[in-house]
Amino acid sequence: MLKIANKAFSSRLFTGTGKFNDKTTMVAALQASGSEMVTMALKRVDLQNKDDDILQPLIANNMHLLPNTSGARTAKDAIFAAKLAREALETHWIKLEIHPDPRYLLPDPVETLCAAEQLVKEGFVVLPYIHADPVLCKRLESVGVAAVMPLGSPIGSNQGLKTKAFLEIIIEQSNVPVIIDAGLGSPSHAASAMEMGADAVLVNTAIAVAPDPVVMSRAFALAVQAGRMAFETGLAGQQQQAQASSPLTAFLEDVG
Amino acid sequence: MTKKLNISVNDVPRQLYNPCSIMELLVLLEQPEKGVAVAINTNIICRSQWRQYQLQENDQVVVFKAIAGG
Repeated sequence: MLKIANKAFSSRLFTGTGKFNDKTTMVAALQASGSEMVTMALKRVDLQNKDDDILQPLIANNMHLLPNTSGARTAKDAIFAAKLAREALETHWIKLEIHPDPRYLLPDPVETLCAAEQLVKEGFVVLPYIHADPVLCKRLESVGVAAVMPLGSPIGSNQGLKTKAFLEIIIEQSNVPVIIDAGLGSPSHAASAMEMGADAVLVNTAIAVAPDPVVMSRAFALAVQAGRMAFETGLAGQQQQAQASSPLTAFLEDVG
Repeated sequence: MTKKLNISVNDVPRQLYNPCSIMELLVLLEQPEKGVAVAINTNIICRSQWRQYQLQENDQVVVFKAIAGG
């Protein structure tokens, strides 16, 4: 069973709560996914317009909440956001994300490492969203993060595992759980990540904006299970030349 | 005579009756207790202090809320 910090998870699919058309669809999709941990963001309250309250249904469904620091451009911003999230959601868990560039939303490694170190010291369970950088992953591990969350491709791009070769190195070297986050666009991407030995995946856009998010979340759940099962049992090896699956007895040549 | 208190909430000026705690302000703003964080003059105030923390003249209050996100 997957364990992050002191918490065990039976599902290896984590989900985001953004971009769903409505609260009812979001809740139904999260239920269909079997996900036990969901991400949330923070914003300044708009006192003129009421936001849809999504927190109550998440709590009612026993979701473990993972607030993020989205919107932070520096370590200082992210630490402030983490502390706000701790008060708002009464959790020490934080998905640390610092992306100063809105075009590609790529995470800033220097600021992330700096913030991670500080937040760990202050007692947070830190899950940093980062580029698929094996060296950075080890540095983050050494400052005490609970897991690493390298990206497959840019957030919301649905391009899949563009960083595959580096994810493989990260998985091989890591002593903390590796959660592939961002860019997983289809269940096959998720299955592929799990076959590689990722501990979990985090999916949001590909489920939330699918024509039927409830069906798609189920498809992701099955793909994650299948990929994990394949990893645990071990994949058959690859080779250059064909190897017959049926016995080549040449029986047709004997007929004539 | 009841004193008035001038503060700002998310950059909007607001006049309140003095005294007013953070908890009382959240009720006035129709904000739920759960899922909300409060900073005053850029200091985050722990939720355990919301009942006793009395707002002061010219306090800049910012209320944050957990919303959907990835």
